[in-house]
Amino acid sequence: MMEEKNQSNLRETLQKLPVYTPDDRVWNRIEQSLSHEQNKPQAIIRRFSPFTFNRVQWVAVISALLLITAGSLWLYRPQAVVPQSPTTFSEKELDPALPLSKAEITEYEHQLAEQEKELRTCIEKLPDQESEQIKPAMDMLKSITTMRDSMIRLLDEQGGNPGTEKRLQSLEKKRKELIRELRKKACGIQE
Amino acid sequence: MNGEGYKISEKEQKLITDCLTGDRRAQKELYDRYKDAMYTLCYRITNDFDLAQDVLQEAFIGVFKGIAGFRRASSLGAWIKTIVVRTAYRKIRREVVMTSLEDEKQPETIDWGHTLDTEYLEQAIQSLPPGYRSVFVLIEIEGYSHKEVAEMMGISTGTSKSQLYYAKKQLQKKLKGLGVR
Repeated sequence: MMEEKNQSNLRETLQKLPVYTPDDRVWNRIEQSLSHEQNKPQAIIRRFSPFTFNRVQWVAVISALLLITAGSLWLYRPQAVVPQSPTTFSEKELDPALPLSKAEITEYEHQLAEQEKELRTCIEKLPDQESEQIKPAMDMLKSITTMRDSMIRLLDEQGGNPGTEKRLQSLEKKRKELIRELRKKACGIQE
Repeated sequence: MNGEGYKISEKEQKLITDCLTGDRRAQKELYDRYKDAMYTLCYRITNDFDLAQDVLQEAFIGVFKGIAGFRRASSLGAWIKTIVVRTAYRKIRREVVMTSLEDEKQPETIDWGHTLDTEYLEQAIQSLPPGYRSVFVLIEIEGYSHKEVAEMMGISTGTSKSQLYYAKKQLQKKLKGLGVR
């Protein structure tokens, strides 16, 4: 075979070769493409960003916030007489956007874990071809769950941080949505 | 799971998490961190600055779309680099002609000498045929093994070795032609 002399000299010179910088327009094109992709409706994985809201959606969000604020003010006004009614328990799903107190996490987690378990059972029963189709989405679910767990650990260790909590809620929302869509696809469950 | 244990820093983990949620500032930070190295690699493979920019754009869009699939089997940089190499190689694949080492009979000695000029070396590398150039860049500059190159380019390790052999032979010839050695 071939022998080489002074190979270290070649290696050293190769390390000194120039490094080039791309045009700034490359990033602009990447950004445009990503924004375009985000605006496309996707079958299973939907992206949520308040920056993609249109005017009508913004009006709806602001109106809802105003209504909630007005309602809260009325309900908790000083010496308010709140009509008494028998205690009932909501059967609605917990909102992942709620503050993440430990008790809430436990109940919410339990519910999602049950759904996830059910989903895995459904996938096991699917024919190979269909379960292969679902695999990338399941991988994504796994990654999101890992990220979510890391963030919860980070919050536990370093205390509350509005930015991290916001990201956690966003991840949680995506996770829930993904589980919901996958259940729809794999188990045929409409919620 | 095997292969998921590559240690990544907390800062990088946060960057990945932010990119996963579509945070544009995090995506830009990730891009800025790797753009020069990846663009240079694109250029060395394609030998064309404009095409290299197209490859860089396509590769990073792939990175951001596929970041959920990053399994920590390697560093984030290595994972991005693999995407960049595959994207770049797809662009030049048609021009690549792979030759086999079996035709070569005589062993040969290549002496790189004591003085090598970076400018001439860059020029000589860029004048190599695409197949030789890609393998040479990936192995000698980027530090990949023949096995890794073979996997990325969809060739055998034998072909990868022969490409490197011819690349080095031609490189020395070209350097002599340029009056370097």
